[in-house]
Amino acid sequence: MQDTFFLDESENLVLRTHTSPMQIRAMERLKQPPIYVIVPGRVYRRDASDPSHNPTFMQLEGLAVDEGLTVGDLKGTLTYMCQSLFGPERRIRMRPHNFSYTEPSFEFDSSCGICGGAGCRFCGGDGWLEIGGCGMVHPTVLRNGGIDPERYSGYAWGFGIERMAALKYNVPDIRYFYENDVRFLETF
Amino acid sequence: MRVSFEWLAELADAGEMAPERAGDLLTMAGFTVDAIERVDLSQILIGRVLSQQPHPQSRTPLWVHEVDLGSEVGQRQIIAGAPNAVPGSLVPVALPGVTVPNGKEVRDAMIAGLAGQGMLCSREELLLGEDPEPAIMLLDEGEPGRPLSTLIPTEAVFEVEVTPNRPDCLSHLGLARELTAADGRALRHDFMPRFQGEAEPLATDMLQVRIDDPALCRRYVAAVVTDVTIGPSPRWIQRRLRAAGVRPINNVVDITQYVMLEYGQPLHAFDAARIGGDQIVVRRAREGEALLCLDGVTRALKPQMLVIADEANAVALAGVIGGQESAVTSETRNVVLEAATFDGVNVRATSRALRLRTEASGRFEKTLSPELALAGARRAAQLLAEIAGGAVHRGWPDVYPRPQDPVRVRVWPDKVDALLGVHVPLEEAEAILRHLDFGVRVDGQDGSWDVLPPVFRLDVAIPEDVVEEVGRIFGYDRVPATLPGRRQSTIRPFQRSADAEIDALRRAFAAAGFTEAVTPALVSGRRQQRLGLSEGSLPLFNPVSEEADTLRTSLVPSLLQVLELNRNRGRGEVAVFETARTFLARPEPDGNPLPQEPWQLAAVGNHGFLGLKSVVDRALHDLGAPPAEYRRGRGTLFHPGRTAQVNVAGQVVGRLGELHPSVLREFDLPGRYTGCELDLDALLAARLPRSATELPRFPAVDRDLNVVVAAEVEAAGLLSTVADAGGTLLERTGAIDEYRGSQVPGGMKSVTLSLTFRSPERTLTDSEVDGVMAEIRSALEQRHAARFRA
Repeated sequence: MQDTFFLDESENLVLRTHTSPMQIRAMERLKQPPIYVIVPGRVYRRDASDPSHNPTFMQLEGLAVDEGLTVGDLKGTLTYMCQSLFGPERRIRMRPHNFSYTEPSFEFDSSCGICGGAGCRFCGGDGWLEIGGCGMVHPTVLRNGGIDPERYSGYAWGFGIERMAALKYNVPDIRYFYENDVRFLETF
Repeated sequence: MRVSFEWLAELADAGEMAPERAGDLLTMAGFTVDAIERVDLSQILIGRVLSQQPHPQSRTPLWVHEVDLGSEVGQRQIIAGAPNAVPGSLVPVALPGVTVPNGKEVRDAMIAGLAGQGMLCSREELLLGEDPEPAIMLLDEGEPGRPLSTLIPTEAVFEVEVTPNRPDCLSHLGLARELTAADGRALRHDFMPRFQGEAEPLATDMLQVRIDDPALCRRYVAAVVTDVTIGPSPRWIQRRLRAAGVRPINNVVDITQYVMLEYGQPLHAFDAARIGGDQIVVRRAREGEALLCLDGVTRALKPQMLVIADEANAVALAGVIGGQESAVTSETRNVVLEAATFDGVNVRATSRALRLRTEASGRFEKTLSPELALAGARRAAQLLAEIAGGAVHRGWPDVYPRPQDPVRVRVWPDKVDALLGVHVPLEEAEAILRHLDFGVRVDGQDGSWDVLPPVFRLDVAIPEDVVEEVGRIFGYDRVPATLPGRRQSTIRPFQRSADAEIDALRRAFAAAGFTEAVTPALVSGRRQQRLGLSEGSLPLFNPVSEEADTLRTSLVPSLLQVLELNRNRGRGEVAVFETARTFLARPEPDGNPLPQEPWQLAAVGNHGFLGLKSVVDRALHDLGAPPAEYRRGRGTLFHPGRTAQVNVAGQVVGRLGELHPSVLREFDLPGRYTGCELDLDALLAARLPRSATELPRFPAVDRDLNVVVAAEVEAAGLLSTVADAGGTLLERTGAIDEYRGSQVPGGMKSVTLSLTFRSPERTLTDSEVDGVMAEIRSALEQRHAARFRA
């Protein structure tokens, strides 16, 4: 919790640290599955800024709620996304993790585009690049969204947009995105 | 967490497994192995220092050593920068050509005029831990010339990421259980050691334990161990502690650390002679109470903090740090061993309030099972008996008022396949759970499973948790990737997002040479105040820097900062725009705790007023908004005489004008810049459906009119008078030029209006248009005291 910015001492108002609150809003607004949404947005973390951190950055969050959704569907969605963004040779790895909105939860990696998974300097030697977090929507989250977890299941995933862009376009420093040197902006 | 592979492999019966394979299994089971450090010391030789002289030439402190490396290698001259390698010391030596474990390659070198023929190594260079000062590692024993691996076997150390829901796996035993399960086996190691001690009298007769606040301490187990011999730990304990990043101190303290790393249960050893009244009371700290802690710091305690006390004083800060007065020293004979379960929330609050995070507090914060306390206490007591020669008294004080409730999760096994999207054979799923120490009972009636998580797992409560256990050990790499989708009966028409709708604006600005920027929403509150923008501004309660301590109320300063940065880097002619939300406190509390977040477009560049206005006009047209009307306006950042209010459909949607020189000075920008701010929600709301009109069949008549009026009369006012007076024949009107100077009297200006007349029914004659022009002239004379120039 140390990484949250508060607007008041009583810690009632925070700058959101991730885009997950949108899950409940999407379910409240759309009410009836099928629900397939993606939501980009600005988030804030109390990090010191360095080449891979910035106190403000963008996240993209996806949510699917439907009958019969499985971990396999989540894996397929992530594979589709990474192959579309980075190329058809990419593979996806899901490592079990822990997040409060999902059960089971994962961190997901893409195979490294430089070495193809063999391990190189770019990926730190293990062949995988960490992309983001994901998981099957926790039944309590579905229930809070007015959706029957016995009938429907869902999955959600999220990642930092700058980090994805940095991987895709070889951006050496995440702060480039907020510094706005036109020589950088004109690359795009 | 740092994990010794040798230790892990022993517990997991995985001596044959390669560290890389174990690392992969753990990673895929949910314990990401971030790094495998290898400490291979077979290339490092043991040397004896024969002499040590200060380097005669070097300006930095260096010493020249003559080192004996045994009969095969002989003697070498080695230059080093730490003073502790005195003659007679046994030291680790890396000869030229050897790469030491931290990656440094040793070469022959001339150092300030003298030849150096190798390197004396520090602990850090050998990845054996850290030395407090720059110092050469000194060895207790060893034969010169023999490899260091004869003393310290080659080993691998894992850096493992353990998620906060699994404090049971902040331990070698916990990870060993995961590793064996991932390897398809059960752990051959009982969770609860049997050792209970036999010495008389009963420990309960030697020590009283009382918990005053059972909500904050669920269990307190104390073992009494007499006649211990304090000394260094055996080498295997020291080696494992070092691999895990812990500095050995003495056998008793080392055993508490060792068992914490093995079981995950923090432990503390008190010198029993320092526990006044032979009683331990777990209570809240008293007002004004202070404790001299193990790190030498005296801390003032607050009544919400939990302490361990004897009959009179606090002797330890529960779950955070021990006290120095009651600590085990080389004089200690009798030991009280504490294994307790403290409330995670309270430990976290204490640790935060004191800004003191310890290995123990980090574990208690994650909530430990009280069952773990007894297991840890028994294991540590056993080691105290074996290693420190102590007599462990039987009959331990164990205050455990409300035992942990057993957990039982009912799972229909078909849930596994349904959630994972892969077929897991029932026997395999059941075996996985048993390997993880879960109990599984199959209901003969309906085939459902009664799943009993092991006592140390507090994170398993619902069927999904059980499915996750099966999934992560079964292996998510075995789950096929599929895409969802089915025949839908609900049809939701496609609706573009608001962000996509304003792409028209983005394209118009980009086409006019503006670069899109994305700037941080957190800005300097002081600068915002200097710029007069602090009204409604929301400061952060806990900022990290003064440069980013407040939410912005306007985008314009952020853009000026971009211009400043680019100008300093040699790009002066830059124009930028941004679309983003700004943040304003609600002027009056209306029950909504959230601030207003106006969505804005701002642009800044040196296009001049008319240049920027034409970009805005084009942008609004492309968006589908009605044309803007520009009226004299003002704005905090803008030049009072050179700023217009932008109105669309009778509503103020923004402003456009020259930026005030004092604002530009704040950013060190010379010259003139124009900027605009537009409210995007208002613009989107003002859009009209596009609708074609019938094209005219008759020609138009164009006229210009030079109107001379007082300088303060607005062009927009003139245009609306013209529109009123022009009637139905006036098709279009606009102000195309403005002139002040010698051709018009002082205090006046000349505005050139362009007028287009057309009738849908006939070709207009000159005299018809002259008639309307006369009416327009007279209206302008009456309303604006206008005169006319040829």
